[in-house]
Amino acid sequence: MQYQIFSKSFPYFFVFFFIFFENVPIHFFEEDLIKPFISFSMIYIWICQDSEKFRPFWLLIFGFFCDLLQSEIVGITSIFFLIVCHLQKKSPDNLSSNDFKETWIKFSIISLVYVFVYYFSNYIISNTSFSIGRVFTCLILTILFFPIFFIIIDKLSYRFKKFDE
Amino acid sequence: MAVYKSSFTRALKPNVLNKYMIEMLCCILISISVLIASVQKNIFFQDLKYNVVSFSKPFIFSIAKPFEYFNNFLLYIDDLKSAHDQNKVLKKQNHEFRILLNEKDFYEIENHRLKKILELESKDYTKKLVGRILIDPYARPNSSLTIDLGKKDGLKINDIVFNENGMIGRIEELGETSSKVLMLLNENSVIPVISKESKKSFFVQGDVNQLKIKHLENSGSLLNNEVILTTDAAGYFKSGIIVGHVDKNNDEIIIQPIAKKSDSIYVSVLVYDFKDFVDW
Repeated sequence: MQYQIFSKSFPYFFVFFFIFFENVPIHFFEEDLIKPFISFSMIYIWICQDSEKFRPFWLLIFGFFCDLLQSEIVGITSIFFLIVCHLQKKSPDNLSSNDFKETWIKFSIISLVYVFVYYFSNYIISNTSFSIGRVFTCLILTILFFPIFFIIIDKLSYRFKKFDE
Repeated sequence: MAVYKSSFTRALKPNVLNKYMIEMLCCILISISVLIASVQKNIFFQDLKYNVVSFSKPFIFSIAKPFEYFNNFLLYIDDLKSAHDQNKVLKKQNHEFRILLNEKDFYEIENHRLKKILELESKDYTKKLVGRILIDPYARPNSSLTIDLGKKDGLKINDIVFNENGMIGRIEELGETSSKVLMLLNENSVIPVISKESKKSFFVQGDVNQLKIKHLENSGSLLNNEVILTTDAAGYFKSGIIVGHVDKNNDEIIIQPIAKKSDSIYVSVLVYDFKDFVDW
Protein backbone atom coordinates (compact mmCIF):
# COMPACT_ATOMS: atom_id res chain seq x y z
CA MET A 1 0.00 0.00 0.00
CA GLN A 2 2.76 2.38 1.04
CA TYR A 3 4.82 1.32 -1.94
CA GLN A 4 1.81 2.00 -4.12
CA ILE A 5 1.47 5.54 -2.76
CA PHE A 6 5.20 6.10 -3.11
CA SER A 7 5.24 4.84 -6.68
CA LYS A 8 2.27 6.93 -7.71
CA SER A 9 3.55 10.13 -6.13
CA PHE A 10 7.26 9.79 -6.90
CA PRO A 11 7.12 11.19 -10.47
CA TYR A 12 5.31 14.31 -9.25
CA PHE A 13 7.75 14.91 -6.40
CA PHE A 14 10.59 14.26 -8.81
CA VAL A 15 9.37 17.00 -11.15
CA PHE A 16 8.64 19.47 -8.34
CA PHE A 17 12.11 18.85 -6.92
CA PHE A 18 13.71 19.99 -10.15
CA ILE A 19 11.37 22.95 -10.50
CA PHE A 20 12.49 24.20 -7.09
CA PHE A 21 16.11 23.22 -7.69
CA GLU A 22 16.20 25.47 -10.74
CA ASN A 23 15.19 28.49 -8.67
CA VAL A 24 16.83 28.19 -5.24
CA PRO A 25 20.03 30.19 -4.74
CA ILE A 26 23.04 27.87 -4.88
CA HIS A 27 26.50 29.37 -4.71
CA PHE A 28 29.96 27.84 -4.84
CA PHE A 29 32.80 30.15 -3.88
CA GLU A 30 30.51 33.16 -4.34
CA GLU A 31 29.62 32.13 -7.89
CA ASP A 32 26.15 31.01 -8.94
CA LEU A 33 25.78 27.36 -9.86
CA ILE A 34 24.91 27.07 -13.54
CA LYS A 35 21.50 25.45 -13.81
CA PRO A 36 20.24 24.30 -17.19
CA PHE A 37 16.52 24.12 -17.94
CA ILE A 38 16.22 20.86 -16.04
CA SER A 39 12.53 20.92 -15.21
CA PHE A 40 11.56 21.62 -18.83
CA SER A 41 13.81 18.79 -20.01
CA MET A 42 12.53 16.33 -17.42
CA ILE A 43 8.88 16.95 -18.19
CA TYR A 44 9.50 16.93 -21.95
CA ILE A 45 11.37 13.64 -21.79
CA TRP A 46 8.75 12.06 -19.58
CA ILE A 47 6.05 13.08 -22.04
CA CYS A 48 8.10 11.49 -24.83
CA GLN A 49 8.56 8.28 -22.87
CA ASP A 50 5.07 7.99 -21.50
CA SER A 51 2.52 10.59 -22.58
CA GLU A 52 -0.13 9.00 -20.36
CA LYS A 53 1.87 9.54 -17.17
CA PHE A 54 0.90 13.13 -16.53
CA ARG A 55 -2.58 14.34 -17.22
CA PRO A 56 -3.04 17.75 -18.87
CA PHE A 57 -4.11 19.15 -15.51
CA TRP A 58 -0.76 18.23 -13.93
CA LEU A 59 1.17 19.67 -16.87
CA LEU A 60 -0.78 22.87 -16.31
CA ILE A 61 0.22 22.87 -12.62
CA PHE A 62 3.88 22.14 -13.41
CA GLY A 63 3.95 24.97 -15.93
CA PHE A 64 2.32 27.37 -13.49
CA PHE A 65 4.87 26.51 -10.83
CA CYS A 66 7.75 27.06 -13.22
CA ASP A 67 6.41 30.44 -14.28
CA LEU A 68 5.33 31.64 -10.84
CA LEU A 69 8.80 31.07 -9.42
CA GLN A 70 10.77 32.37 -12.35
CA SER A 71 8.98 35.07 -14.21
CA GLU A 72 6.32 37.74 -14.16
CA ILE A 73 4.24 36.14 -16.91
CA VAL A 74 2.41 32.94 -16.01
CA GLY A 75 1.10 30.46 -18.53
CA ILE A 76 3.71 30.20 -21.29
CA THR A 77 5.38 27.07 -19.93
CA SER A 78 2.00 25.39 -19.34
CA ILE A 79 0.97 26.03 -22.93
CA PHE A 80 4.25 24.54 -24.15
CA PHE A 81 3.85 21.43 -22.04
CA LEU A 82 0.26 20.95 -23.21
CA ILE A 83 1.21 21.38 -26.86
CA VAL A 84 4.11 18.93 -26.48
CA CYS A 85 1.84 16.42 -24.77
CA HIS A 86 -0.77 16.75 -27.47
CA LEU A 87 1.81 16.33 -30.25
CA GLN A 88 3.15 13.20 -28.61
CA LYS A 89 -0.31 11.74 -28.05
CA LYS A 90 -1.29 12.41 -31.67
CA SER A 91 1.65 10.43 -32.90
CA PRO A 92 4.56 9.02 -30.85
CA ASP A 93 6.91 9.75 -33.76
CA ASN A 94 6.36 13.47 -33.48
CA LEU A 95 8.85 13.98 -30.69
CA SER A 96 10.68 10.71 -30.30
CA SER A 97 12.03 8.25 -32.81
CA ASN A 98 14.09 5.08 -32.93
CA ASP A 99 17.14 7.07 -33.86
CA PHE A 100 18.15 8.93 -30.71
CA LYS A 101 19.87 11.67 -32.70
CA GLU A 102 16.57 12.62 -34.26
CA THR A 103 14.95 12.83 -30.82
CA TRP A 104 17.87 14.98 -29.67
CA ILE A 105 17.54 17.36 -32.61
CA LYS A 106 13.79 17.70 -32.11
CA PHE A 107 14.33 18.46 -28.45
CA SER A 108 16.98 21.06 -29.32
CA ILE A 109 14.63 22.84 -31.69
CA ILE A 110 11.69 22.80 -29.30
CA SER A 111 13.77 23.96 -26.35
CA LEU A 112 15.26 26.75 -28.47
CA VAL A 113 11.78 27.90 -29.46
CA TYR A 114 10.59 27.67 -25.86
CA VAL A 115 13.51 29.65 -24.45
CA PHE A 116 13.17 32.30 -27.15
CA VAL A 117 9.42 32.73 -26.66
CA TYR A 118 9.72 32.65 -22.86
CA TYR A 119 12.42 35.27 -22.46
CA PHE A 120 11.35 37.40 -25.37
CA SER A 121 7.78 37.69 -24.07
CA ASN A 122 9.03 38.44 -20.57
CA TYR A 123 11.32 41.11 -21.95
CA ILE A 124 8.71 42.72 -24.18
CA ILE A 125 5.69 42.50 -21.90
CA SER A 126 7.07 42.91 -18.40
CA ASN A 127 10.41 44.54 -19.26
CA THR A 128 12.28 41.89 -17.27
CA SER A 129 16.00 42.01 -17.84
CA PHE A 130 18.04 38.84 -18.14
CA SER A 131 21.54 37.85 -19.06
CA ILE A 132 21.74 36.61 -22.67
CA GLY A 133 25.04 34.91 -21.89
CA ARG A 134 23.58 32.93 -19.02
CA VAL A 135 20.45 31.98 -20.93
CA PHE A 136 22.60 30.81 -23.84
CA THR A 137 24.85 28.83 -21.48
CA CYS A 138 21.83 27.20 -19.85
CA LEU A 139 20.36 26.32 -23.24
CA ILE A 140 23.61 24.75 -24.49
CA LEU A 141 23.99 22.77 -21.27
CA THR A 142 20.36 21.64 -21.45
CA ILE A 143 20.89 20.32 -24.97
CA LEU A 144 24.21 18.69 -24.03
CA PHE A 145 22.79 17.01 -20.93
CA PHE A 146 19.72 15.76 -22.77
CA PRO A 147 21.09 12.19 -23.22
CA ILE A 148 21.82 11.88 -19.50
CA PHE A 149 18.37 13.16 -18.55
CA PHE A 150 16.88 10.84 -21.17
CA ILE A 151 18.54 7.78 -19.69
CA ILE A 152 17.41 8.71 -16.17
CA ILE A 153 13.81 9.30 -17.20
CA ASP A 154 13.84 6.23 -19.42
CA LYS A 155 14.72 4.05 -16.45
CA LEU A 156 12.22 5.77 -14.17
CA SER A 157 9.33 5.77 -16.64
CA TYR A 158 9.95 2.10 -17.48
CA ARG A 159 9.86 1.19 -13.82
CA PHE A 160 6.71 3.17 -13.10
CA LYS A 161 4.99 2.07 -16.29
CA LYS A 162 5.65 -1.54 -15.30
CA PHE A 163 4.20 -0.84 -11.90
CA ASP A 164 1.11 0.88 -13.33
CA GLU A 165 0.51 -2.05 -15.67
CA MET B 1 -19.94 -8.59 -32.70
CA ALA B 2 -19.96 -5.25 -34.55
CA VAL B 3 -21.59 -2.36 -32.76
CA TYR B 4 -23.97 -0.31 -34.84
CA LYS B 5 -23.58 3.40 -34.15
CA SER B 6 -26.43 5.59 -35.29
CA SER B 7 -25.82 9.22 -36.21
CA PHE B 8 -27.67 10.12 -32.99
CA THR B 9 -25.26 8.02 -30.92
CA ARG B 10 -22.31 9.55 -32.69
CA ALA B 11 -23.62 13.04 -31.90
CA LEU B 12 -23.87 12.11 -28.21
CA LYS B 13 -20.33 10.76 -28.03
CA PRO B 14 -18.33 12.57 -30.67
CA ASN B 15 -14.78 11.21 -31.18
CA VAL B 16 -13.09 14.58 -31.25
CA LEU B 17 -14.42 15.75 -27.88
CA ASN B 18 -13.47 12.81 -25.73
CA LYS B 19 -12.50 13.17 -22.08
CA TYR B 20 -8.84 13.77 -22.86
CA MET B 21 -9.57 16.47 -25.44
CA ILE B 22 -12.00 18.26 -23.15
CA GLU B 23 -9.42 18.27 -20.40
CA MET B 24 -6.72 19.45 -22.81
CA LEU B 25 -8.90 22.23 -24.19
CA CYS B 26 -9.88 23.38 -20.72
CA CYS B 27 -6.26 23.44 -19.61
CA ILE B 28 -5.20 25.41 -22.67
CA LEU B 29 -8.02 27.89 -22.12
CA ILE B 30 -7.05 28.26 -18.47
CA SER B 31 -3.40 28.80 -19.46
CA ILE B 32 -4.34 31.48 -21.95
CA SER B 33 -6.61 33.29 -19.53
CA VAL B 34 -3.97 33.10 -16.81
CA LEU B 35 -1.41 34.43 -19.30
CA ILE B 36 -3.63 37.39 -20.17
CA ALA B 37 -4.35 38.10 -16.51
CA SER B 38 -0.67 37.97 -15.56
CA VAL B 39 0.22 40.29 -18.47
CA GLN B 40 -2.30 42.78 -17.11
CA LYS B 41 -0.51 42.48 -13.73
CA ASN B 42 -3.57 41.32 -11.89
CA ILE B 43 -3.16 41.68 -8.12
CA PHE B 44 -4.46 38.13 -7.71
CA PHE B 45 -1.36 36.71 -9.43
CA GLN B 46 0.98 38.81 -7.44
CA ASP B 47 -0.59 37.48 -4.24
CA LEU B 48 -0.71 33.96 -5.65
CA LYS B 49 2.98 34.09 -6.50
CA TYR B 50 3.96 35.01 -2.96
CA ASN B 51 1.55 32.50 -1.47
CA VAL B 52 3.09 29.76 -3.62
CA VAL B 53 6.57 30.86 -2.55
CA SER B 54 5.52 30.90 1.11
CA PHE B 55 3.92 27.49 0.79
CA SER B 56 7.05 26.15 -0.90
CA LYS B 57 9.42 27.45 1.79
CA PRO B 58 10.02 24.09 3.51
CA PHE B 59 10.84 22.42 0.18
CA ILE B 60 13.07 25.30 -0.88
CA PHE B 61 14.94 25.15 2.44
CA SER B 62 15.37 21.39 2.25
CA ILE B 63 16.79 21.61 -1.29
CA ALA B 64 19.06 24.60 -0.64
CA LYS B 65 20.42 23.53 2.78
CA PRO B 66 22.75 20.69 1.66
CA PHE B 67 24.30 22.96 -0.98
CA GLU B 68 24.67 25.73 1.59
CA TYR B 69 26.54 23.40 3.94
CA PHE B 70 28.72 22.16 1.12
CA ASN B 71 29.52 25.71 0.01
CA ASN B 72 30.36 26.72 3.60
CA PHE B 73 32.66 23.71 3.82
CA LEU B 74 34.44 24.70 0.60
CA LEU B 75 34.80 28.30 1.81
CA TYR B 76 36.16 27.05 5.13
CA ILE B 77 38.81 24.94 3.36
CA ASP B 78 39.66 27.94 1.20
CA ASP B 79 39.97 30.16 4.28
CA LEU B 80 42.21 27.61 6.01
CA LYS B 81 44.68 27.83 3.15
CA SER B 82 45.09 31.57 3.53
CA ALA B 83 44.57 31.74 7.30
CA HIS B 84 48.00 33.16 8.14
CA ASP B 85 47.89 35.98 5.57
CA GLN B 86 44.26 36.73 6.39
CA ASN B 87 45.17 37.00 10.04
CA LYS B 88 47.74 39.72 9.30
CA VAL B 89 45.22 41.68 7.20
CA LEU B 90 42.51 41.33 9.84
CA LYS B 91 44.82 42.49 12.61
CA LYS B 92 45.66 45.62 10.62
CA GLN B 93 41.97 46.20 9.86
CA ASN B 94 41.12 45.72 13.51
CA HIS B 95 43.61 48.39 14.51
CA GLU B 96 42.16 50.84 11.96
CA PHE B 97 38.61 50.14 13.10
CA ARG B 98 39.55 50.78 16.72
CA ILE B 99 40.74 54.26 15.74
CA LEU B 100 37.54 54.86 13.74
CA LEU B 101 35.44 53.62 16.64
CA ASN B 102 37.04 56.12 18.98
CA GLU B 103 36.30 58.88 16.47
CA LYS B 104 32.74 57.65 16.10
CA ASP B 105 32.22 57.78 19.86
CA PHE B 106 33.36 61.38 19.85
CA TYR B 107 30.99 62.28 16.97
CA GLU B 108 28.12 60.48 18.66
CA ILE B 109 28.53 62.52 21.82
CA GLU B 110 28.89 65.75 19.86
CA ASN B 111 25.80 64.86 17.79
CA HIS B 112 23.83 64.17 20.93
CA ARG B 113 24.86 67.54 22.40
CA LEU B 114 23.92 69.39 19.20
CA LYS B 115 20.54 67.64 18.95
CA LYS B 116 19.85 68.59 22.54
CA ILE B 117 20.72 72.19 21.85
CA LEU B 118 18.52 72.29 18.75
CA GLU B 119 15.83 70.19 20.48
CA LEU B 120 15.69 67.74 17.56
CA GLU B 121 13.91 64.40 17.73
CA SER B 122 15.54 61.68 15.70
CA LYS B 123 13.40 59.00 14.12
CA ASP B 124 15.51 55.92 13.77
CA TYR B 125 14.54 52.60 12.20
CA THR B 126 12.14 50.60 14.33
CA LYS B 127 13.61 47.14 13.79
CA LYS B 128 16.06 45.10 11.78
CA LEU B 129 14.74 41.81 10.44
CA VAL B 130 16.80 38.91 9.16
CA GLY B 131 15.48 36.94 6.22
CA ARG B 132 16.65 34.35 3.75
CA ILE B 133 16.89 34.44 -0.02
CA LEU B 134 14.35 31.93 -1.35
CA ILE B 135 14.28 32.40 -5.12
CA ASP B 136 17.19 33.63 -7.23
CA PRO B 137 16.77 32.75 -10.91
CA TYR B 138 20.10 31.97 -12.56
CA ALA B 139 19.19 33.59 -15.89
CA ARG B 140 18.40 36.91 -14.26
CA PRO B 141 21.48 37.71 -12.15
CA ASN B 142 21.36 40.93 -10.17
CA SER B 143 17.82 41.61 -11.34
CA SER B 144 15.54 40.63 -8.49
CA LEU B 145 15.17 37.95 -5.86
CA THR B 146 12.56 36.74 -3.38
CA ILE B 147 13.06 36.70 0.39
CA ASP B 148 11.02 35.10 3.15
CA LEU B 149 9.85 38.32 4.81
CA GLY B 150 6.62 40.07 3.95
CA LYS B 151 3.74 42.24 5.14
CA LYS B 152 3.20 40.12 8.24
CA ASP B 153 6.76 40.93 9.36
CA GLY B 154 6.10 44.64 8.99
CA LEU B 155 7.85 45.21 5.66
CA LYS B 156 6.84 48.04 3.36
CA ILE B 157 7.69 48.96 -0.21
CA ASN B 158 11.16 50.57 -0.50
CA ASP B 159 12.51 49.10 2.73
CA ILE B 160 16.25 48.65 2.33
CA VAL B 161 17.67 45.15 2.02
CA PHE B 162 21.31 44.65 2.88
CA ASN B 163 23.83 42.09 4.05
CA GLU B 164 26.95 42.35 6.21
CA ASN B 165 28.81 44.23 3.46
CA GLY B 166 26.23 46.76 2.38
CA MET B 167 23.03 47.45 0.48
CA ILE B 168 21.88 44.92 -2.08
CA GLY B 169 18.44 46.23 -2.97
CA ARG B 170 15.06 47.43 -1.83
CA ILE B 171 11.61 45.89 -1.44
CA GLU B 172 9.67 46.19 -4.70
CA GLU B 173 6.63 43.96 -4.19
CA LEU B 174 5.06 42.55 -1.05
CA GLY B 175 3.33 39.32 -0.23
CA GLU B 176 2.08 38.21 3.16
CA THR B 177 5.20 36.23 4.12
CA SER B 178 7.53 36.79 1.19
CA SER B 179 8.51 39.69 -0.97
CA LYS B 180 10.41 40.65 -4.08
CA VAL B 181 13.65 42.60 -3.80
CA LEU B 182 14.71 44.93 -6.60
CA MET B 183 18.47 44.53 -6.75
CA LEU B 184 20.75 47.53 -6.71
CA LEU B 185 22.20 46.44 -10.05
CA ASN B 186 18.82 46.19 -11.77
CA GLU B 187 18.51 48.88 -14.45
CA ASN B 188 15.18 49.98 -12.93
CA SER B 189 16.85 50.72 -9.60
CA VAL B 190 17.66 54.40 -9.00
CA ILE B 191 18.63 55.49 -5.51
CA PRO B 192 19.84 58.77 -3.98
CA VAL B 193 23.35 58.67 -2.56
CA ILE B 194 26.06 60.90 -1.20
CA SER B 195 29.83 60.60 -1.41
CA LYS B 196 31.44 60.39 1.99
CA GLU B 197 34.44 62.68 1.54
CA SER B 198 33.58 65.03 -1.31
CA LYS B 199 29.98 65.34 -0.01
CA LYS B 200 28.37 65.23 -3.48
CA SER B 201 24.70 64.25 -3.71
CA PHE B 202 23.60 62.37 -6.79
CA PHE B 203 21.74 59.25 -7.95
CA VAL B 204 23.02 55.85 -8.98
CA GLN B 205 21.30 53.56 -11.43
CA GLY B 206 21.88 49.83 -11.82
CA ASP B 207 23.80 48.70 -14.91
CA VAL B 208 24.19 44.89 -14.80
CA ASN B 209 27.52 44.68 -12.88
CA GLN B 210 28.08 48.26 -11.79
CA LEU B 211 26.24 51.46 -10.93
CA LYS B 212 25.98 54.45 -13.24
CA ILE B 213 26.18 57.98 -11.91
CA LYS B 214 23.12 60.13 -12.64
CA HIS B 215 22.36 63.84 -12.13
CA LEU B 216 25.88 64.86 -11.17
CA GLU B 217 27.33 67.76 -13.15
CA ASN B 218 30.98 67.11 -12.60
CA SER B 219 31.57 63.44 -11.77
CA GLY B 220 35.31 64.09 -11.94
CA SER B 221 35.06 65.84 -8.57
CA LEU B 222 34.51 62.46 -6.89
CA LEU B 223 37.58 60.90 -5.32
CA ASN B 224 38.79 57.49 -6.43
CA ASN B 225 37.72 54.66 -4.04
CA GLU B 226 35.55 57.09 -2.12
CA VAL B 227 32.73 55.39 -0.22
CA ILE B 228 29.18 56.10 -1.40
CA LEU B 229 26.32 56.00 1.11
CA THR B 230 22.56 56.23 0.83
CA THR B 231 20.80 59.45 1.74
CA ASP B 232 17.30 60.02 2.95
CA ALA B 233 16.42 62.25 0.00
CA ALA B 234 12.66 62.84 -0.19
CA GLY B 235 12.22 60.67 2.88
CA TYR B 236 12.22 57.33 1.11
CA PHE B 237 15.48 55.77 2.24
CA LYS B 238 17.52 55.50 5.34
CA SER B 239 20.74 57.43 5.19
CA GLY B 240 24.18 56.03 5.86
CA ILE B 241 23.96 52.54 4.34
CA ILE B 242 27.07 51.69 2.30
CA VAL B 243 26.31 51.30 -1.40
CA GLY B 244 29.72 51.09 -3.03
CA HIS B 245 32.88 52.97 -3.90
CA VAL B 246 33.92 55.22 -6.76
CA ASP B 247 35.91 53.57 -9.52
CA LYS B 248 37.86 56.01 -11.69
CA ASN B 249 40.25 53.45 -13.16
CA ASN B 250 38.44 53.11 -16.49
CA ASP B 251 37.36 55.77 -19.02
CA GLU B 252 33.96 56.06 -17.40
CA ILE B 253 33.53 56.94 -13.73
CA ILE B 254 31.29 54.35 -12.14
CA ILE B 255 30.31 53.11 -8.72
CA GLN B 256 31.29 49.57 -7.82
CA PRO B 257 28.83 48.04 -5.38
CA ILE B 258 30.40 46.60 -2.26
CA ALA B 259 27.80 43.96 -1.37
CA LYS B 260 26.94 40.98 -3.56
CA LYS B 261 23.95 38.68 -3.17
CA SER B 262 26.30 35.70 -3.02
CA ASP B 263 27.96 37.10 0.15
CA SER B 264 25.36 35.40 2.27
CA ILE B 265 22.10 33.49 1.92
CA TYR B 266 20.77 35.66 4.73
CA VAL B 267 19.82 39.32 4.34
CA SER B 268 18.63 42.03 6.69
CA VAL B 269 15.83 44.49 6.16
CA LEU B 270 15.48 47.83 7.86
CA VAL B 271 11.86 48.41 8.78
CA TYR B 272 11.03 51.99 9.63
CA ASP B 273 8.61 54.83 9.02
CA PHE B 274 8.44 56.74 5.80
CA LYS B 275 7.01 60.25 5.42
CA ASP B 276 5.30 59.37 2.16
CA PHE B 277 4.73 56.37 -0.08
CA VAL B 278 5.18 56.57 -3.83
CA ASP B 279 5.64 53.72 -6.28
CA TRP B 280 9.04 54.22 -7.95
